[in-house]
Amino acid sequence: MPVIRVENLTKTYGQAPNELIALKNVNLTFEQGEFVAIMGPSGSGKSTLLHMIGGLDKPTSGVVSLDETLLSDMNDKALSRLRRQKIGFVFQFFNLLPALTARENVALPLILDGVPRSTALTRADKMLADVGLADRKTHRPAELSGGQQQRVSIARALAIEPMLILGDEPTGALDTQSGNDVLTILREIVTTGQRTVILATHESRVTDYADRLIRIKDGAIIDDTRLTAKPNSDIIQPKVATIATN
Amino acid sequence: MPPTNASSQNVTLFNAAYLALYYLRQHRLRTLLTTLAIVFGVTVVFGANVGVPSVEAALKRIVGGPGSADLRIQAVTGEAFAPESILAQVAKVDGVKAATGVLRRKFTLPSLGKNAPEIEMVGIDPIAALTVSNYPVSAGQFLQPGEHGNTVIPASIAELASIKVGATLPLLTTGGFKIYTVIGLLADRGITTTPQLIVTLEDAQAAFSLPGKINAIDIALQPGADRQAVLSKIVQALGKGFQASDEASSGADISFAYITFNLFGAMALFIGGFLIFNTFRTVVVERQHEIATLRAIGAEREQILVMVLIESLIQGMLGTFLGLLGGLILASQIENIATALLVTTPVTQTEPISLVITPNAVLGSLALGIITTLIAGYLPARSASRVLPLAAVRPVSNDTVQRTSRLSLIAGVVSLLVAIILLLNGESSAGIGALIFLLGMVLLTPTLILPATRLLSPLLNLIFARESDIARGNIISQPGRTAITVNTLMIGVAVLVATSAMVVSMNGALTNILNAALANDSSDYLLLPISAQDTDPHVGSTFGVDSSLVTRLRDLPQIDSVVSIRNADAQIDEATIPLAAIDPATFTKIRKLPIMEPDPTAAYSALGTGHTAFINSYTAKTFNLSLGKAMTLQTPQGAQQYRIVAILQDLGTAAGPYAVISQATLATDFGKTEDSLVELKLRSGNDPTAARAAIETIAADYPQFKLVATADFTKTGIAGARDITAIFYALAAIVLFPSTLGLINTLTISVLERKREIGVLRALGTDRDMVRRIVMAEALLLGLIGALVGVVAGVAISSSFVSIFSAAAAGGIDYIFPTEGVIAGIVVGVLLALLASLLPARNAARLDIVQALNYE
Repeated sequence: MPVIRVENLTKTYGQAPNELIALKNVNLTFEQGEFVAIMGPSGSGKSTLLHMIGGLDKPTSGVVSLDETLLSDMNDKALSRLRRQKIGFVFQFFNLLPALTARENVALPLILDGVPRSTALTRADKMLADVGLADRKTHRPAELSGGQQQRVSIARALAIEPMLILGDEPTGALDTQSGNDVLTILREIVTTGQRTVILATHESRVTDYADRLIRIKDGAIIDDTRLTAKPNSDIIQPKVATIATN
Repeated sequence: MPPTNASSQNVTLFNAAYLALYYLRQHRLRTLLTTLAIVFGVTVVFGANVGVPSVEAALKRIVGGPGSADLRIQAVTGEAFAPESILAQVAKVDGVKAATGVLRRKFTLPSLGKNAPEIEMVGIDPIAALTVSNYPVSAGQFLQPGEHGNTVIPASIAELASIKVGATLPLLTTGGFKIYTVIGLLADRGITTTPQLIVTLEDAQAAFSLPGKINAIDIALQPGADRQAVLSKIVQALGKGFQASDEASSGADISFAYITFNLFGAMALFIGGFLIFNTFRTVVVERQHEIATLRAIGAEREQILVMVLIESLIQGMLGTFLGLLGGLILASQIENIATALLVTTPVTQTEPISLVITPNAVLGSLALGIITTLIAGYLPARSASRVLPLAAVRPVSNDTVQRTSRLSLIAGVVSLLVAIILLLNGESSAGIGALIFLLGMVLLTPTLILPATRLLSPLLNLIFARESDIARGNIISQPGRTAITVNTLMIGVAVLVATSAMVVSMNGALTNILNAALANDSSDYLLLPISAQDTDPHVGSTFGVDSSLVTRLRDLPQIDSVVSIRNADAQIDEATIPLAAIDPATFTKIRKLPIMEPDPTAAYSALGTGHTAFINSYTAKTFNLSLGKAMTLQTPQGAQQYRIVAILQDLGTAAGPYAVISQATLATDFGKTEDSLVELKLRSGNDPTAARAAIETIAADYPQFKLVATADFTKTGIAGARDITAIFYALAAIVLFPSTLGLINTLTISVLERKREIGVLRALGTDRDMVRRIVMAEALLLGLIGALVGVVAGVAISSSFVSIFSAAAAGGIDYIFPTEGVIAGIVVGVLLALLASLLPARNAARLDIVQALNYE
């Protein structure tokens, strides 16, 4: 039973004759508990596809449905609610609020959703512990390394217990080790939490962690492959434990 | 997780406030600078609304006099009148227990110099006065009927001036100094900033040359009588010519102060609001990425809106609260100055004026400060709420910026048109017209940046040859940001130019009056009351001299002729009209009035025949009068008909009524024989030094007058007025201060925004000094554009400034173009911009190259 359906999705920018086609007639479905890597060169449309799925941008034609709900039927308020209740975002440059501490950043989507502050902060502490940052919760982003900031960002995405996590080049700004740590955590989320993770990336090592690889070029899907060597929980969990103790 | 519901709104609000506080703390300097602007505005408005009424209340107490009568009645003209029938009528009114006539007059003791204290001589009927009010004698004795040359003074003044019972005091009379003996001291009775010297009514009448006259009736009410009801009955019995004296208290100067403070306070608040608007607009641009992230992780538009609004609200509340404190300090300063002005020497009592803080002043200032910031914060908050979540992951095109500027061009032009209509519509809508004009200019500025930059480029190239291209590029590429800075400066410069127009116009009006007053004047010397050159337009209330001065001067062999002018106030259609009284037979020997019709010879001879008058053309127009018609004036002798025998030109550009009657008629109808002004012409062929010495010898006996060479009169008068207008420039500076803060604020932000660019420039080999010069070149260009736009706006709104004050000033003020103000505006604008650039330029020059390159 797919949780996300993308049907005949097309996105263009500008007007003819200078029209730029970012996506053309894309059809895809995503299952619950699936780790999907979308790969392609710069400008291929992978980020655009991710933005459409996350409700950040509207398609020119075609539909995206999440959990049987059409995103195109939603107004801004409903889309905002959807983002803060069902979708977690992990950005390439982390996008943490510099004024807030790590735990406040993680608690933010909950607070925005009306969860009492103390409850939200308690939950944030747990999330930070899960990504191995229990001892960094009162630090501000500027006091954390890139890898640590991205882990805070993942904790923020997880705080709302989303059904879907979207990552736009989440390892793009990180060194190899930190990138691996991030991917390990994301894998763990899929394996143990039965959540769906979709990453837009051009790093081939992601295939070591993903269940499925979608290749995209010039706005069209050119390949959709199920990956067999899917790491199981027995391998992932010790790795996560290592990250936590780092 | 629980979904959003209505009950969670408060929690969200709390968190929005929490976030807002974080941001404010993060940018302490910016928060401080922005908040300071609101502090200034509220300080001025609150200070004015506490300080000015307090002084007014104190003045009222002085006018009313503590422990004195329950009610005091005066002629509406303030002139003296015969007491008999009036007193009898008042005594008959229900609720009146007792009534007594008094003759009181304030004057200064000239021997004490320029800052001589005002003293009030009060002539009373010693028996009747005690039935109306209480005179507790602490030493010596009270006055007895029929006594002459004795006075009773307040004990505190006696103490301060070391005067004992039995001592003698020289007091001024219309005939010069007269010696009085202090026979008693009065126990103190609260605040009296004007010391009262009590003499018998007969002595006062003799001193003021008003035999048989009184100028006020003090009334004691029966216990439980309603003051207001009794008053209206008295006014009904006596007719329109009388009123309660405290209603006649001089509120003119106070209302002037009100207008001044409130106008400048509003301007300071406007700039404060504008500064907040600027800051938040920039903050939103600067924080776009963060706002987009919040949106991406699910923040709703309203939440973003509320967050930014709360941020501005916190600044508004902080600024308003500090402004209230500042206002209290300002009010106490106003109070100190007022106390110093009212209580100038040790001869007067020095009890302080207490501040009157009304709920209206507090709530009004609170509301003004907070509402201003909320309005100022709303537009940026709204644009923040419209930031697309997508901006969290990719740069957004600048389509929106261009659309906004086109929209603001249209809105700006519409605002300017509306403002021009309002400005041309007259003084009632001029104030709001000026504000809308400024708003229109604010909206229009982004469009003006490009042409203005092109215009000023050659100048910039001349001063900053190497840096001008980059500076110009920065300004043109960011019309929005440039407009913010330009507008901040524009408002300050506009206020400076408008203020200058006001000052120049006020001085011009005064010069006109003085010149017109002396036109066709062939006198060599003037003898006039000391206070005549002060701001008091009520020449009639100053202390004149009796006819002995003119007689003695005429006897001098060096003098060709002497004429005098006497003054009084009358009422026409319930409006006050100043009267000048001349002797038609001798007046033309020295002076010629600007008679428009009929033939002057006929006019002067007609003025010598009974109830006749000259009126100026303003009076003729206003009261629908013409040559040959009769006009009715309220005089102390009741309503009197005067036949109009000449129409005079208006005095200079001052549009106000005046009339001229003969001195004989003045004596009959007003009972006044004292001269308010004496002019004299020397006989030719005499030694001028000796002549002056002879005149000075006589003048020395009349210390209430001073001797001025006619040629110096205008010059001295204008110099005096200049001192007063200095306060307007001080207030303009209050407005320029937040403008400078705004400049520093926006230039700092502009450096921050271009951190990366500066890093690139440094990497490409630009040295620190060049970076500094780039920022300064930019500031110079901004300063020039801001000053030019400000001058245009200032000139446009200056006429409204002048008309607002013209409405409050007696006689009106004509608009004069502020050439000096325009020059000062440009110089000040450029200097302030350069000054404001010093710190940001230093910061830019000190940036670490690698850090700047990595700045996102």
